[in-house]
Amino acid sequence: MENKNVINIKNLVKQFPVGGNYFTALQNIDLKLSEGEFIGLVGPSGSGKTTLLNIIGGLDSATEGSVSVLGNSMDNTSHNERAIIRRKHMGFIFQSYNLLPVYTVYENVELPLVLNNMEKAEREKKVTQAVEWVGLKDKINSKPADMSGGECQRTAIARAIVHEPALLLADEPTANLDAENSHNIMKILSKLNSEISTSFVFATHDEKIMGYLRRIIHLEDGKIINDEKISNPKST
Amino acid sequence: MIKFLAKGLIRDRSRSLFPLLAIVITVTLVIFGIGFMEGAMNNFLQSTAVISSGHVKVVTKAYEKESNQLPNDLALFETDKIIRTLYNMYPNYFWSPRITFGGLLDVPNENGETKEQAPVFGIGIDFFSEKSRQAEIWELEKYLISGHLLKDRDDALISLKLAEQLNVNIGSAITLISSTMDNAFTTYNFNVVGTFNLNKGQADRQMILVDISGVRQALDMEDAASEIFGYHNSLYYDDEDAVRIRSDFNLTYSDSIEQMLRNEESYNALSYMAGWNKISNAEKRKLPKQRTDALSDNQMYDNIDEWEDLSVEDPAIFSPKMIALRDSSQLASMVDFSNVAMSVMAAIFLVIVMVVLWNMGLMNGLRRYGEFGLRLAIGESKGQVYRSMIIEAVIIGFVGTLLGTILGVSLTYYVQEFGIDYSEAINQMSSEMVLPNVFYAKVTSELYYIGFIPGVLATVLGTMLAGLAIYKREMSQLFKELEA
Ligand SMILES: Nc1ncnc2c1ncn2[C@@H]1O[C@H](COP(=O)(O)OP(=O)(O)OP(=O)(O)O)[C@@H](O)[C@H]1O
Ligand SMILES: [Mg+2]
Repeated sequence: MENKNVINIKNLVKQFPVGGNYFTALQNIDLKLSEGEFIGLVGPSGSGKTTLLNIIGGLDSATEGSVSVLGNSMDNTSHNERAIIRRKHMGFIFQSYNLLPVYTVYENVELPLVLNNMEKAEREKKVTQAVEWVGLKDKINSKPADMSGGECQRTAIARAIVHEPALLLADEPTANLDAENSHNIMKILSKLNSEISTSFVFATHDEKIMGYLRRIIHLEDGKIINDEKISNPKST
Repeated sequence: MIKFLAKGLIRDRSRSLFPLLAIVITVTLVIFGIGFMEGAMNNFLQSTAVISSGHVKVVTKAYEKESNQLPNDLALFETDKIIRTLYNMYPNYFWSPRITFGGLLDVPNENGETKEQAPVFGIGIDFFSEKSRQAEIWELEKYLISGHLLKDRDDALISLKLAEQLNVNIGSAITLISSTMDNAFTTYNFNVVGTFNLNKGQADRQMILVDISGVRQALDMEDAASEIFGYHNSLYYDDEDAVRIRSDFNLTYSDSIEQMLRNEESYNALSYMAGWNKISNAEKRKLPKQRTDALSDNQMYDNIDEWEDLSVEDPAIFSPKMIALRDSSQLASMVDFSNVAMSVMAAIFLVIVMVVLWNMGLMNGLRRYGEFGLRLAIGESKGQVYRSMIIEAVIIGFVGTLLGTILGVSLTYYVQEFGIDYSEAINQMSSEMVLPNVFYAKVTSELYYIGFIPGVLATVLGTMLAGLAIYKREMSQLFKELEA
């Protein structure tokens, strides 16, 4: 069976203006990602992981090369069009959770559905399901300040997957968590990956979670130095 | 989404309650501050208005020209009628006739011979009629040193300095020697019922205060007055309004006789004025008696040429003319100064408050970059995030300003009605100070909207500026700030 390309990057260059000059954060990146893949962008600090993730997510744009995500060419789409693609088809998980502190778990998870103008009844069903998925049913009315880091990150995961996105981007999702919580999170994510058709891209340099990845792309100084398929990943 | 944002707004006190409080407090301060300054400025003008100028006053044109000589032979006639007209034309003002007069004050001994004598400056005020509110605005009880206020037509209050000079006591009779408005010699007896001190340095050195009914009797000025004083019902001197009614009055009323004599039709009237008898009685009454007598007796004005010679002294010089407080030379600069000072202070005040609220809007926006970044990542467009930010600022700014305005205007209104009594503090200062004991604030119309400038405008502009970063920066950059 032929897999659709979820991500198709050709000859990507990303430069940042620094002073009067340019700093090249990414160069000659070629990357294809098929539906349902579970991959990691791995490399030392400053190697360009976040930059690449941002470009894939349409939060930043490429200096050169072509970037196509979920069949949309990101080079010539407007901010608004990219916002719509994100809203409908992408989920984000951040290192620092980025929950909105004034809202409860339920409301934080509900936000993407509100943005997608979903009916209240359907929202309720989906939010409850997502929260159950990450095992936070009994915390559904808590606020982020009253929860542990692991619980917060699980809430962030629920928020990222509640609208069943085609692509989930996670930037160091376990960096602020201890080993046990990190493993928990990775188990949840790989289970999700096997149950729904979502593709996952992680940026990480956390050794603990490497074992869960099915494909590891090694970055160094903005270049892909190795693209490694893992034959026997850990699973749930 | 609106519901979602509203929830956040209500729950996050640093987003709603604190800015709201800041706006309420600053707007209240602005409004009360400005209202208070307006009131204080007005206080300084009010004492002058009470004693010498009114907010506006009506005199004859001739009287105005020579007013420093207290020329009561040029006084206004038919004052009741003029006052009725004034009430009709300008119901926002109250009107009161006044006679200012000069003369000699003679204090007789037991035998009725002169004991002491001094020049006197007298003011006859309509204290007894409720409508003219003179007792209320003079507040003489504050200045009374001994005795009691005027009760009777022939009662007189005499300034402390003059009383000492003339050696008169309460209960003494004093004789005013002066001339009637027809320039006839006259004497009249008043009874001293009290002494006063206006605390205005030498201004009251020769002053006596009497009721206008007594002076009218003394100077044979029935239904006549040197001046008719007008005050706005609120006692607040509104310069613009005073100037407006002065111009209006002078255009429509006082020029009418002059106009009548000058325009085409009355040319005919003029030509047969050769026979003075043919002029209407109403017109005649507008000229002083001695003049009409002279004209009636004298047959030399039998032809029009000679009449025109006479009209160099236009009979219209006896028509009434309105003068606003600001028209007296020294007062114009004072009024202007107070207006400018007001505007400058209000402007400085506004700028300070704007900077504060602007900053608050800015900080509030900056503080929430994290939230904005996240919402952008989740798929809100920049425009949506920006708009929601502005809408929040508008709501907070508007509600805060509304509350602040209500609070500020109420506070100002309270101080307007009841005043802040400074007498304690003032008594501790020099007793020679000419400060009113009670400061009143003033609710003016601009108080109702001025708060919106800092309250809504500054808050929203500050927020807008903070929000511009959403557009200017790459989204990933916005993120970096939230990750930190
Ligand atoms: N906006 C920017 N302007 C200038 N340089 C930037 C900008 N964003 C990133 N860089 C540079 O690009 C390089 C790659 O940054 P990036 O954040 O992608 O690294 P990373 O692999 O995610 O590192 P870490 O593991 O520390 O998160 C770094 O050297 C960084 O300094
Ligand atoms: Mg990074």
